[in-house]
Amino acid sequence: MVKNLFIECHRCEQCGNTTLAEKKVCPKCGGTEIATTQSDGKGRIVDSTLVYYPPDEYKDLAPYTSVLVQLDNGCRLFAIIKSEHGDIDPGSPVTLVDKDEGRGAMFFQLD
Amino acid sequence: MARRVGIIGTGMARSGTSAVPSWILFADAALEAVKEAGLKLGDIQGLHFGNAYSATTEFQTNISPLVLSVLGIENHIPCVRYEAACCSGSIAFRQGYLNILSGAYDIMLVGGAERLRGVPSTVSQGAMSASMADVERKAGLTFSAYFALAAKEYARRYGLPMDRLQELLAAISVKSHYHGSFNKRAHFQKAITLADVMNSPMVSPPIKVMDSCPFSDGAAALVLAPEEIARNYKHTVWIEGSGQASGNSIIAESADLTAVPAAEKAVADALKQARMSITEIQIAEVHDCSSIREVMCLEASGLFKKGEGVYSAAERKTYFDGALPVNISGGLKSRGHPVGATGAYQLCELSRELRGDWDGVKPKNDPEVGITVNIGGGGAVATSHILRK
Repeated sequence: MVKNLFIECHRCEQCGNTTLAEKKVCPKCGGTEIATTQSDGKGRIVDSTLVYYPPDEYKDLAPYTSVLVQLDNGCRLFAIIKSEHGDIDPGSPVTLVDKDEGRGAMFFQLD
Repeated sequence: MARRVGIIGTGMARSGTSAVPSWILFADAALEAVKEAGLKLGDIQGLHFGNAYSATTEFQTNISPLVLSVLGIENHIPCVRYEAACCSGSIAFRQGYLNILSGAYDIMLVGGAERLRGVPSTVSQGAMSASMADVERKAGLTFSAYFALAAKEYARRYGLPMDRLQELLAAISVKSHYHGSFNKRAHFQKAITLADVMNSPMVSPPIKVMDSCPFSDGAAALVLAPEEIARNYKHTVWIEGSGQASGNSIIAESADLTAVPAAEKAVADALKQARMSITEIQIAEVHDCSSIREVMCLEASGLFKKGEGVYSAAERKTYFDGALPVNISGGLKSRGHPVGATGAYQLCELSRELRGDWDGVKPKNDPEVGITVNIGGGGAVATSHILRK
């Protein structure tokens, strides 16, 4: 069964700035109409590195690839690609494939 | 015309591993600072104390009155603890400075202490990761991974092959350890080679273990006084400028991972207050929790042009005998990083370097004016102070 995966983002209705972290006021334009919006988890790699010394709660995954992703809606966030990929070319398309509701991580996969 | 404020006493515990709690470690540093100032403990009018993690690492809050209790100070002076990650100690210093500048108080005891080594490492690591915004900590991001991305972006921007970047960064760690090998209070008092750094295990490529500072225990204290008192001391170092700023708390929202806007602002504000140009600075203690962070400090402050900070140690410009000595204490890499005390160490060290009684390797350029740059978290907080002998 395919999971219904999405990422809840916060979008400024005035300028469109979209963030993962909740804002009451938009840091770009000062707008106060911030709506939640769902991303389907498609985006592109901004940059990546490997994590050999993880926080305790992610020790079981190490080494893993920590990625900065820009979603198609403009929101930038850090996520994990399970497995050791080394350098991933910036701009590579990726998709959300799993969420760890307990620990909070989002897992992406290269398209 | 604002009051002029001077540093009349400095004191530092050895950075490393402490068997005693942070509030007791701080008392040793405080007694040294008060003795240097030739004062009695009863002369102190207030305590501003920096500490980031005692709630977690030592299960102790309300720590500043405990510091006074250890020192036997029972004359009911005000005290407070500041938490701003790696800037806790320098912010405590700045608040004591502002108290005197306002005219409300004259003699203040400031500084910080931290205990990260003499407690279980999982506790220290957990505590330190809490200095990152939860949305990113939960995403499995680490500070070293952030520095890795900053270093990769830096290399791309300035056309450096990755192995060349790693060698240039390694030269910064070699310099820090060389300087730290002369510092009796340093956590690691041992010189290292380029090969030691290059062959050390990878943390997050291109960042290696020996690009990264240790967690340390430590405490540093200073006594501050207004001009009418401070001018009576031969060893007074004057606070010419003080800046503090905030930046992106959330790293993913940073427009440029190689920049530290909070440090740029803190330095600019300190220079403006001092009515100085950065080109007048002759010595610096900057935040080098990772070797790339030293580059970022050198460039955010304007001490080096963008794209040139990475060559600073390899070209020996920032050695004790270079044109601009940087971190002759050994920096966070070698002196160590007792987080809530680090900013106070930098200020004690710079004071002694300017006074000429620094007992480590001495700067060859006989500096009269210097700067500190202290950064917390992923650049969320920063302070900068300009001191003159």
